[in-house]
Amino acid sequence: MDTSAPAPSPDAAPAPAVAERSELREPWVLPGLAVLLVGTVLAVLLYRAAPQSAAEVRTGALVAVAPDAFTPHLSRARERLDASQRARAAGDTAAAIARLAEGEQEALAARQRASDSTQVRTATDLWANVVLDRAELMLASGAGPWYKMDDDQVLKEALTAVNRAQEAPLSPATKTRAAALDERIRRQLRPGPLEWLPR
Amino acid sequence: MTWTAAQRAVAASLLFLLSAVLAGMVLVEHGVEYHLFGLVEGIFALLLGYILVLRGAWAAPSGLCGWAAVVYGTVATAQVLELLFPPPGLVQWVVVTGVAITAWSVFSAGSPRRLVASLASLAVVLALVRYSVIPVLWAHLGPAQGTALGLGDIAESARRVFADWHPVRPAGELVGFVAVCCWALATRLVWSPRAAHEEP
Repeated sequence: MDTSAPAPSPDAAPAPAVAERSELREPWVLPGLAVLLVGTVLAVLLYRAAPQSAAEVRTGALVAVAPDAFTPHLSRARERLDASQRARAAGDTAAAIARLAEGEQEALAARQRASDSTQVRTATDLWANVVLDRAELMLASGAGPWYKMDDDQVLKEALTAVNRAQEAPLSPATKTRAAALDERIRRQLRPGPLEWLPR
Repeated sequence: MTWTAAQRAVAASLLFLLSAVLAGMVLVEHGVEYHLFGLVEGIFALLLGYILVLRGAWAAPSGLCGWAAVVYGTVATAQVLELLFPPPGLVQWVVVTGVAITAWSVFSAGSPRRLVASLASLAVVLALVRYSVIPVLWAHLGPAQGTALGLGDIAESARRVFADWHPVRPAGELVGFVAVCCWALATRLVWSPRAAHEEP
């Protein structure tokens, strides 16, 4: 055994806590850890929100940054409307109705945050159109072919939604659209072959 | 420029995070699905993480940065396995059971370089099953859903028992490839000095 070797000095190897502190002081280690933390939070938020397009990420971020402002909620409502149209084109009616319900909430939120009458009118009209779109989809899904029963429950819900929209101060075009849809749903609700007869 | 171990560990953690995020994003035909690993992938990732550290492919964790790299690496491995394992069904049960039974003997032997080569081969086989074999069989196993007077629906049920597969867009496979590249690059960054000195 070699006894001539010098005994290791107590400070030859740095203590773990000291080593850790010194490694944190190295260039861009702390900023890197901060970026890692922020990135992790953003990843969790991304997976939680599950956006389907870049536009959804943008409008979602706008609402998160300024939840009390009018414009972000209006943009979000329009983007939800687009998302519902995409879902409808893909044949997913349930998803389209769900997106419209979200759009309705966002348009309503925008209306509550409107600061002048023009903004109130814009948000109200958008809200009413989203409600009518949803009612239209519900009418399409609730009305069965001639050999099948209609889903009256869904049709009645659609009618209630249309009547709710009709109570708001609407533009003439939206008012006409609501009246036509109201008429179509009421006709569909008539029993049996009466739905094909004029009122 | 020479990077210190802490700097490498932080850079690897960032790449592992990117890999985990990308591996879970699946571009399906109409939209994006966000997949999070399940218990099977999580346990398998723990096993692989342990073997990677044990064989010296990942530097043994020391300090905050080292541990961060190992934790993010394990999560990224689980997400990449979620990307590569066959979809739930009979095929997944057979493949995962086979891999799990042979994993210890296959991966714990040899040098770190051989371990990484074995993992790469496994990844190729898994990708082949998920992105080539299953889609081709899916297209040819019986009539499509909603066709052939109800026979298509029965065929669809049988197909779902084998693999609950949903078609992905070609860009989706590209995103998965980028995720695997990030994982490989991060592994290279935390390559243990012990492994670097081994025979080529």
